[in-house]
Amino acid sequence: MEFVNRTEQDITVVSIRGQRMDAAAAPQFKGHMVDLIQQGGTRFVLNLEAVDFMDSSGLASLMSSMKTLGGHGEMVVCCLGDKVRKLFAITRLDRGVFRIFATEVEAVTALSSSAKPG
Amino acid sequence: MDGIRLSIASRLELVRLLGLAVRGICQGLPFSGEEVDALELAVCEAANNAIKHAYKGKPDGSVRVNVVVNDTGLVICVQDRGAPLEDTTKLANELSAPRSVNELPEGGMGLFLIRKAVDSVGYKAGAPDNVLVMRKAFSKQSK
Repeated sequence: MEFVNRTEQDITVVSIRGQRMDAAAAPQFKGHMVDLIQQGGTRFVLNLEAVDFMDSSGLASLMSSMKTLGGHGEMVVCCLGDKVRKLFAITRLDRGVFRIFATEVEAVTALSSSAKPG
Repeated sequence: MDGIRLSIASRLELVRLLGLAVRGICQGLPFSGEEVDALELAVCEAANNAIKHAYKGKPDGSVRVNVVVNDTGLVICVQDRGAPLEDTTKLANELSAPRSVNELPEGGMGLFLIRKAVDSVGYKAGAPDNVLVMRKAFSKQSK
C-alpha cells in the first residue's frame, strides 16, 4: 500500500494508492498516520477513491488514527466507492463519527471552514 | 460433506486469495452483487479472525475453507486448529452506533459483519478443528 500526501493550508490530504485496505494493509496505514500526527499534523482528509475492498481491520485502522489524534484534530474521508460507503453505513460509522464527502474539494473546503483545533 | 476446498497458510496477506476465490464461486450462483461482496467480506473476516486470534499471528498454521453448494444455498465452513474462540457470545453481539471517538469499538466488528452477510452463523470449538459455519440461502431465482 502506498500513500500520496499533499498539504493545503494546514490540511494534509492523504490519498491511498491501493485497492485493499484490509488486515494485511492496516498496520502500514496506521503507521503512516501515526508518523503524520507525530510530525504535527492535526487536520486530515483521507481520499479513499482507489480503495475497492475494506474490512473491519481497515476500518479499525481509521478509528485508531482518530483516537491517536485524541480530540486535538479532525479526520474526514472522501471519494468512497459503493462498497466502502456501505461498510461505513453497516457499522454506523457514518453517523457522526466520520464526516464523509463526495469529493476531495468538498472535504478540504469543509475542514478549512471548521474551527481549528485548540 | 463434499464441497470446494480451499486452504492457505495462516498469513494475513494470503486472505485476499480466499476472498477472491469465494467471490468467484458466488458470482456463478444466484446471488446479487451486494450479496457477493458481503460473502467475500465474511470469508475474509473469518480467516482474519482465525489468523489473528486462533493462531495469534503465527504463520505456520493453516486456514481451510470448504464451500458446499446445495439446491437452496451455500454453506461455507472456515476451519483452523488454533486456540478456540473463548467468548462465543461475541457471535451474537450487536454494534451500537458510536457517537464519538471515545465510543469507537475496539473489536468485534468482524463477527458483526459476518452475521450481517449471512443468514446464520454457527461455531464449534476444537476436537481438533475450530469451525465457523456460515449459511446463506439463494436470493435470486435460480437460473
